Amino acid sequence: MSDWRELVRERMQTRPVTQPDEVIEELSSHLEESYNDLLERGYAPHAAIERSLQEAGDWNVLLQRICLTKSGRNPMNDRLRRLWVLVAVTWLALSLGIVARQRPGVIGPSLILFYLPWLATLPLVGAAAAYLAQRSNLMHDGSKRLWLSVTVTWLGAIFSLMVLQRIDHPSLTLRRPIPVAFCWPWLATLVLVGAAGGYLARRADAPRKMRLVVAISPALLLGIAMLLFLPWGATLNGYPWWLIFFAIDAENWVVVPGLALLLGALPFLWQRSGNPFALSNGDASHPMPSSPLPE
Amino acid sequence: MTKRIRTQIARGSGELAILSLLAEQPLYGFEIARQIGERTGGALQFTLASLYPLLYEMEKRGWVEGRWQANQAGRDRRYYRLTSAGKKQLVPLRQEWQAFFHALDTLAGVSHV
Repeated sequence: MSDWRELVRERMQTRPVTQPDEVIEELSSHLEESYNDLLERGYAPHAAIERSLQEAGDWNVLLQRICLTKSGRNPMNDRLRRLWVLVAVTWLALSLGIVARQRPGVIGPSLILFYLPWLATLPLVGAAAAYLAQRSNLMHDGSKRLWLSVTVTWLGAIFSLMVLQRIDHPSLTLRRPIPVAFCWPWLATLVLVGAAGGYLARRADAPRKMRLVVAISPALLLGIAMLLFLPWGATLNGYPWWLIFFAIDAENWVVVPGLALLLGALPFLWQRSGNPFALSNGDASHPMPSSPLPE
Repeated sequence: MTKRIRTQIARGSGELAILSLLAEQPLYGFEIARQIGERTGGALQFTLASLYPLLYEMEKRGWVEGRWQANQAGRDRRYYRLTSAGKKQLVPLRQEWQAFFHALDTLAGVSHV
């Protein structure tokens, strides 16, 4: 059987509060005994691994409870603090870049000086984000794969917009209600993007809901942003509230692209993860026979 | 019986189960979970997630003490034994549960054996 000790270490180690070796040793020993016991009771190895891991439930919650008991510190608070720093640094750097781009007079008259801060900012943002994420231990292997799926989906969505822009389709200009003009090459690209997102999220052992969110995330977030910001402009322009859906072009930018992304992801939403060490119980097929003791 | 039942009595059920088992003999984590499941016919079941935080908390309070012991058949095991403080804690816990069942019996005709 695989290395249970390494498995537990990977899930339990966190920089702010490092788990003592004996906790890792004890938990991994428990899982190994549980696994061997299930094998003796006739379980197939894959099912035995799956069911043993179900005992831990949510590893983050377990880590939190053990840390609180052992050291009185909540590791999630430390992680959240670092996450906020990460978000703050990213936004600050991006804002500086945008300001630098829009106010060339402040930076300098020449073209190089105008674009230099903006270009220099981007790698810095990436480096800061990667460094802080690594320091915060926000990502272990499964999360890294999940981030990859999100990144690929977003890059694909941006690429698909470039396709659309190149075609110079009327969708790019603000239209007023219906008829909906679909741009088929764009939608075909989005189907592929959705498929890539769904596939990579499945490989990252994400549960089905997470795969769905990853695949349609560009349309989803764009929809949320549009609903938050654009209706104000539409209202100011005198559109009646019941036409806002069309006024913000939601059908063209959110609904139809979202459906295209979903179409691509569909085959991967129903596939089971091939990794028995999946991070979630989304695909669990052997529920515990009775509930654990109440908290 | 007018004795008030502590609000944490539900949580105490786990503590009582573990302390009662360890009062008989020192056991390691997996065996504690297995025996509780077997002896209660599966009605009470500890998982890794519910067992160890509770064990560590009880250890911190000084009710139980864990010690590693070599295991010839496989990996070493951490055996927990009841401390004197744990033995003292077991008595009021048992009384609270008796009061709890008595109260339920009075209210809903749920008798305990």
